[in-house]
Amino acid sequence: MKKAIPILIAGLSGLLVLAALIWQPQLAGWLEVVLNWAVIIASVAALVALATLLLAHTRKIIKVRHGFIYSLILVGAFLASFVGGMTAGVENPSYLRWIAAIQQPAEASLLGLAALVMAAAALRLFHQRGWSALTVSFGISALVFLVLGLGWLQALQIPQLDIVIDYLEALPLVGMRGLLIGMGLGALLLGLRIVLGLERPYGE
Amino acid sequence: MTADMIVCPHCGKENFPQVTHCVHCGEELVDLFKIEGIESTPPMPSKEGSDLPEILKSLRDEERKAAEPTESTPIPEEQAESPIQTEGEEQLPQKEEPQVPEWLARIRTRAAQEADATGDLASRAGTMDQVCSGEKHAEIDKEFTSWIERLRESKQREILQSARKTSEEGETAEGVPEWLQKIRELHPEVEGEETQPIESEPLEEGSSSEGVAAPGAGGSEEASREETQPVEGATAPTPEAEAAQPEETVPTEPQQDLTAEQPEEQAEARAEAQTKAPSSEQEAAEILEPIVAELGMQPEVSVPPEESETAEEQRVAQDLLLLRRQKERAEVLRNLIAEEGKAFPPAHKSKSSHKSWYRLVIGLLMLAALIGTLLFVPPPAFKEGAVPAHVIALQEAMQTLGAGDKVLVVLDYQPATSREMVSMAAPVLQFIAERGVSWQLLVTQPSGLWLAQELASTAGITPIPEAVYLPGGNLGVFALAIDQNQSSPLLPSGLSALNDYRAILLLEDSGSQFQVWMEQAAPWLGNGRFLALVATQDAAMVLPYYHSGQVSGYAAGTQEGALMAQLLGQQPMHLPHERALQVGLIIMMVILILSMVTKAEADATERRREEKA
Repeated sequence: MKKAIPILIAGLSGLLVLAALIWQPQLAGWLEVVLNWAVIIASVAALVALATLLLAHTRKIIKVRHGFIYSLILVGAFLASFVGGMTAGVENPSYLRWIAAIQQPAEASLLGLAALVMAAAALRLFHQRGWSALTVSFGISALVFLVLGLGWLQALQIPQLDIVIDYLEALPLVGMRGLLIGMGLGALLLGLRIVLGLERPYGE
Repeated sequence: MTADMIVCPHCGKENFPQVTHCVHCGEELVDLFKIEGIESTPPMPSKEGSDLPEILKSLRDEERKAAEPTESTPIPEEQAESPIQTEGEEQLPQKEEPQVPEWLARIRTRAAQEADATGDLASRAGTMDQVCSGEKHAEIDKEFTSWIERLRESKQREILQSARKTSEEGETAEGVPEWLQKIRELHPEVEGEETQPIESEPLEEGSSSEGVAAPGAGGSEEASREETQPVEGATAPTPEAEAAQPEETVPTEPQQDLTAEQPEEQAEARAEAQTKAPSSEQEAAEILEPIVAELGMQPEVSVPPEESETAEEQRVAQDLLLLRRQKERAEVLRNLIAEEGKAFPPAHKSKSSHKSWYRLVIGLLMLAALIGTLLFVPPPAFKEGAVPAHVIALQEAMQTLGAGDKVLVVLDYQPATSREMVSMAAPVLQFIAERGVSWQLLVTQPSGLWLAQELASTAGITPIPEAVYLPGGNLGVFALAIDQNQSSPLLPSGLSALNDYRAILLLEDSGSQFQVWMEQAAPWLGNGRFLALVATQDAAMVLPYYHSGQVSGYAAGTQEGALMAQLLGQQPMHLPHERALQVGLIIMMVILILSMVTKAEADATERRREEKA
């Protein structure tokens, strides 16, 4: 019984969505109700996750564990954002500008760091992996697409070269299309398994 | 596994070898604790004078015989006591039997079984006993008696001349007395055979019991068990020795490997056994001391009085050793249980400092190039090129919008990519505002609230329209798509149903989020309603949806955004970071090429070194 109820709820929800897609006018109201429940539950779960995160880091600060300084920054940033939003309002221009001044450079720095890490990995690639089909093909393809990304070859406007460039630029699109087909098939099978109770991502 | 089980004589069922009582009927299984191989080993054919116990027995007989007619010969007190001590040692196992408690006897028996799991040692001991009780003892006794008579006569002559000199240079470098070496020379077969059981086991004090008690053991099974027990126990290393040398190093080679066909190995093993523990030869030396003294030789190898005590302590230590082993096993098991479920610690890799220099160099190089480009290099001039079809499709869709149409602009990008997205979206928003289209800003992330303000101010749109936040993530998008009547209390106010909008313009920098809109919302709205402005890396993701008709048109990246702006008659925004992007791409290319070149150079250097070698 303990296992059957979640399976039953998951299966009925999936079937209702599928049925509502087919009989939209008749079942749209029911689907809205179900979705509202799901949104409420998801919001509560997000609140619980937030509370757990704060408690864990607060405990870490109180016990002065290793790396507690990061916990201090996290809790401090949360409290500042929370208090600022509650007092000034989340749509206050000053408050939004203040948040933007912190968030935008931080995220941009993360992207820059990712570029640096990739550059270091590229330098170590051949030294650590040696000469193999994988490393050579990776190196050549990376070089080719870096050159194409510069746009210099396209600016030459040579018809034969443009044909080659178009062919090369279509390669990622072909790969992405295959990836999308695979994702679609996987999602279909996973949905069927959940509806049939064979897959239980929500736990036992 | 079943081969190790013992069968209960009472109920006939199998039990583990370590149990003392049958788990089925509860009867005692002590009688079943026998040393493996003690009975099953067939008796080896005895060779004349081939066993050490036989030699020792003969020597003792000769000693007794010689003692009677030479009673008048003065014998030192110490030497006179030694035969008594030998007899005492000989009967030690038999005397110990009633004194040893039953539990101790069981532990010793188990220790014997553990130390010699294959039964190899026990089988050799049993074989030795059986050989000793063979029929050819009488012949061997006679031959040995005559040999010892001859030896005695020759030695008497020699010792009378240089007794003292012999005693000084008697012991060789190996610690073997000279007289014993001469015995070996006179009887090499005896030596080769007698060392067999000793070489295979690193005997310590317990080996003396074997050598002495074996002749008296006869064929009695119980007696042989008692006698071999100390020998078996002697193979177990002491705690100190165990700490210094692992158990696996204890030589337990089978007997057939130690035949006379391998004299070199025997010699090596003999020397090793002599250095590690007092061998049976040394025990024989103890027994032979009175005889040698009688012959007039000076006994040089004598057993210190502490050794007998040490032997007794060693027997007790064997019992403690067994308990210690059990304790160690229990400790190991406890540690395994305690470690269960814990993640393995990562393998420690020593970081070499010389490998981290290039990271610093790369970082500084990239940083210098980017800063220099941003500060000193002017933005690149826009180059007109062929306009892709999907950009033209987007331009055509935008051209169809007019006054009175409602357009929903969805801001679904991160602050990190806001520069790129703003440069693409601002001209489009300007075009929409100029056309008099009614448009609404919808954000799906909290940061979208201020990103919307930034976008509107960059586009020069006044007043800045109010952005609406859609909570719930993917579920929120789904709920918004199906909420045609605006009846859901969870959806933001001021937002019309999606069907009311003529077009939905997605500003996306994430392929997965773009998928959410296409797969959760598009099926409920029909084709031809979605337009997209996406980051460069998502171009490949959007193209299939464009080909399928779910997206009417799109532009990806700043270049296509600029083309789109031109097509709409707006001024394209030039990013000051366009040149920096190109510099970054060039640096990445250089690093890749550098990696290949340095690897090739390292390989060439290695080849040259090998050729020189």
